[in-house]
Amino acid sequence: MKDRFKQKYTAGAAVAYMSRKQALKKLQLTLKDFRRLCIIKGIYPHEPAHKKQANKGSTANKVFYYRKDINFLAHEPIINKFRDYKVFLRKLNHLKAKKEEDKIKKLYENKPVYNLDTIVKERFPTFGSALRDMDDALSLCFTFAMLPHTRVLKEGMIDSCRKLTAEFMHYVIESQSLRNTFISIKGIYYQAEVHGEKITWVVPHERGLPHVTDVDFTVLVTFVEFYIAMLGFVNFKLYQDIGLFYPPQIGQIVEAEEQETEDYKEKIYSLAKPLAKRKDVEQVEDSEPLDLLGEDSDALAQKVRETKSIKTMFKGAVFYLNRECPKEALTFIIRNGGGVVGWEGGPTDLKADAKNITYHVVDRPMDKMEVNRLYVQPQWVFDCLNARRKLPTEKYMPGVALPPHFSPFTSEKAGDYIPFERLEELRSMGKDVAELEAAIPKTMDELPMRKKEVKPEKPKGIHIVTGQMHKKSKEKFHETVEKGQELKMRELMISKKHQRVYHSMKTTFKRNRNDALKLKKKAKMAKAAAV
Amino acid sequence: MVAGKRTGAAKGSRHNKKYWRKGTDITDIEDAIHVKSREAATGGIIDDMKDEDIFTVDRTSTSKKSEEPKLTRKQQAALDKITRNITIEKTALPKPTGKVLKKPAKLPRGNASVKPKKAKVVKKKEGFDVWTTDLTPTIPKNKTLDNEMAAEHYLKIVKKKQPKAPGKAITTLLPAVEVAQGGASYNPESAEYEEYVGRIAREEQKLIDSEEKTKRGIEPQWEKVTTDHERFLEMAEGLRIHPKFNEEEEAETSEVVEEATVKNAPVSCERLTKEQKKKKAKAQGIEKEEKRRLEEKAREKDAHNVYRTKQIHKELDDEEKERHEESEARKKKKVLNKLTKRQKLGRGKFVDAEDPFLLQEELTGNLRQIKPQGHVLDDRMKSLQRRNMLPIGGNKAKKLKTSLKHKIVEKRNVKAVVKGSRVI
Repeated sequence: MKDRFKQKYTAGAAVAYMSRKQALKKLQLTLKDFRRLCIIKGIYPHEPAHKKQANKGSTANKVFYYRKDINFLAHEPIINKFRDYKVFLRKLNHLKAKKEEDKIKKLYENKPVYNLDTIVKERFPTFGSALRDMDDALSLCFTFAMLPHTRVLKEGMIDSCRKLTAEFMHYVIESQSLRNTFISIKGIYYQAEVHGEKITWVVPHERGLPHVTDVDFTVLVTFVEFYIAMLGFVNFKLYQDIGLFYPPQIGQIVEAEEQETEDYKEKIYSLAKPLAKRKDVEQVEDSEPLDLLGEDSDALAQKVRETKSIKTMFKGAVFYLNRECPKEALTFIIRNGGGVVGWEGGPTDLKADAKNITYHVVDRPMDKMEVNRLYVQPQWVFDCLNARRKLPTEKYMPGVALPPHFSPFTSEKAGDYIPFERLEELRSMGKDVAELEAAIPKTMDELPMRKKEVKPEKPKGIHIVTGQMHKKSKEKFHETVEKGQELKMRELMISKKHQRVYHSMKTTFKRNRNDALKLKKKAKMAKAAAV
Repeated sequence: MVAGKRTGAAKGSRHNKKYWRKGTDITDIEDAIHVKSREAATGGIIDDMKDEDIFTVDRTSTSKKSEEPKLTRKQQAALDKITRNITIEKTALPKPTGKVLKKPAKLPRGNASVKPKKAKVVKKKEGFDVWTTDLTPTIPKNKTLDNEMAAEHYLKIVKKKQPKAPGKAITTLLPAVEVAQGGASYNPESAEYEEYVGRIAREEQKLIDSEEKTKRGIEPQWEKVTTDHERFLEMAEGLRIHPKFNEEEEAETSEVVEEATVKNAPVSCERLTKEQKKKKAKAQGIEKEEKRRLEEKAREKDAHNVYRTKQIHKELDDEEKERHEESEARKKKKVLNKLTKRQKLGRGKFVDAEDPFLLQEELTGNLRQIKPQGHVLDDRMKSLQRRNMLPIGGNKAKKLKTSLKHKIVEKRNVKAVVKGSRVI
């Protein structure tokens, strides 16, 4: 039988959601701990569809969570650790007031710690799902690795960020999976392809991470705490996959104690030296399938060819970095392309006057140059990776105004204005630019001139001409007119609803075309002026 | 002293010395002295004697107690040792001459053997593959739970095993890291840069405009603050002023008046003439007739609808179909909105990060002299908020006071009225 007197707010949104205050009461946690727990467990608030119903009649803006999520959180063993930590802090306060050093020391030894292993597995049941969430983790860890330590930002956390990011970069170098990079004024963007997943992250510029005030560091620290645990496992798995030692080792195998030394760490963080590989794992070479695919214009073949060209880009080249260049970024890209990098005082200890140097990366005007090496500015390295080949170095000589640095992440649409340099770059990357090129509107002087047909002069006066059969004109002109008429008819047939969209599309198309035309003219003028 | 026994001098006032001497009842004291003197004569005063002189300790057992268990040799030896220790006089050990750095370790109590203390091994966490190792909790060995369900229950109760996680709702479809546009390159192409900076400038202009609009709204539109000059003019009203000045002022004032006066149209109150009334009535009649006619027509049409049921059915079907499609589209849009747009989470308002930019003269064109703009952390925070992963806090709205307090004020002119003041 149906319930005749059903009480209000006993079903639907009113019970499916729970406000944050209610959740705190249920879990017996402080707001700070609750926030941490939610971030670590990956539980996010939701806006109810029927807010008034969920809020039991009130329209106040509250933070709502799914009730089932909160019920699930209640079973988390970490909550107990939070409570233990609270007790620990209380005891510590007590002992500190009494100045009992021994007991304080002992208390610190038994400080409650929690383990995030199970949570990592619970949130990312498969390795692939963890890889898909790497963007956030890497961006945050790379930034944290550069920050100074404060009261909230513990030194240990920054160190592990530094370590994990260096390890990840080593992996990318060893697997040669870096694909794109873009230097913006915010920082340097990288994109790598790991296990078929595109991972994008941003690294701030080495210099000048200004102080931020309106960022809640406690929240970000909790995120980083989880990401450190996750990155550790991901790195381990990645290293296992390509047969590297984890933790990474350079040259011959060293003891665990030596790995802890600052010197050794610096060596690893510099990225300059290749990692030692395990003997028991076979190295997979995947150079065969390329020949099978041949000169196919298939997308897959194109991709394979691209990766191949990235991997062999700097093979056999020795780079010397002048001291003002950003070492980490350059080493990362050069070694990803198979090159060898060194600088004064670096782990490879390359001297500036060494004979084997082929490229000298320099970011200031030079007066003394050697003959048997090529001098380039750092942007050349970045542009080479994006172009998937070694670009000619003339435009990148020290002291020369550099060509613009394009973003490889923007995709060109047909009909847009594409600068000449970009077109060249795209062409060099092996992309089909014919369509893009054709879509660029032509200026008046580029259009083929219509020849004026010289009509035979009509004889004056009355005269006789042989008759002609009327035939339907096969001229193109008529066709186009017909087509135009047809189009107009079709346009008339468009329903009123769609008419507006159609017209707005048409106008934008026209506007874009005009803009492109204008830009092209401008470029031409500039070129003419330069010559 | 009892009240009824007053004799002799005691009959007088108690305040006098006489009463103290003769009226006081001293029988108690006399009795006590008597008892004491008697005790002293017979053997000694009991109060002064020691306990041992008066009592003897009865050491013979009166009732048979249950026999104590016989001690074993070992127990007896231990007991002896304890009693000996108790009886031995404790003498302090000589103090050590040198400095004692550490407290000597406590000896184990009783007959516990001393175990060599293990140095705490700082176990370095070995890396392992989470995705292949089994992390499911196991029952401790001392628990014998052969029943699978019992084991499961046990693990859940001790919170080693957690219930099945609820299905994860996807919070967003937006990318975690949004790559900056081409115009934000450190060495941008001019067209791209122009477009990028132009967009930022347009946004800024919008902001400025909206600010101006609010400012305009706040300021009074019709009123004007009286200036000193205007004040002077008002004071000088009617005075003869040099015609040169007068002309200017005339023009000014006339303008102001024009601006400031907004008058309503005059209210007219005119009666209709007979003719007009007739006309109006006629028009009303025609209107009524027309309405009636239309109603009749509609009724007729309704009656005819019987013959076009098939068509009506079709129309209804079409309408239903259309409605269904619309609702489906709405649902789709709702889901898409939820996954791509900002939800309202918390009291605060989401403020998007401003796109960083460099002015043309700041673009140096080489990596060495680059001026980094914006902060990655700020960007990350906004990204998390945009993807509905973090609530945004805000202050609670302050409540206005609904009831006001009474305040009693005595006005000055009321105060001035005192006793004796005259009514004017």
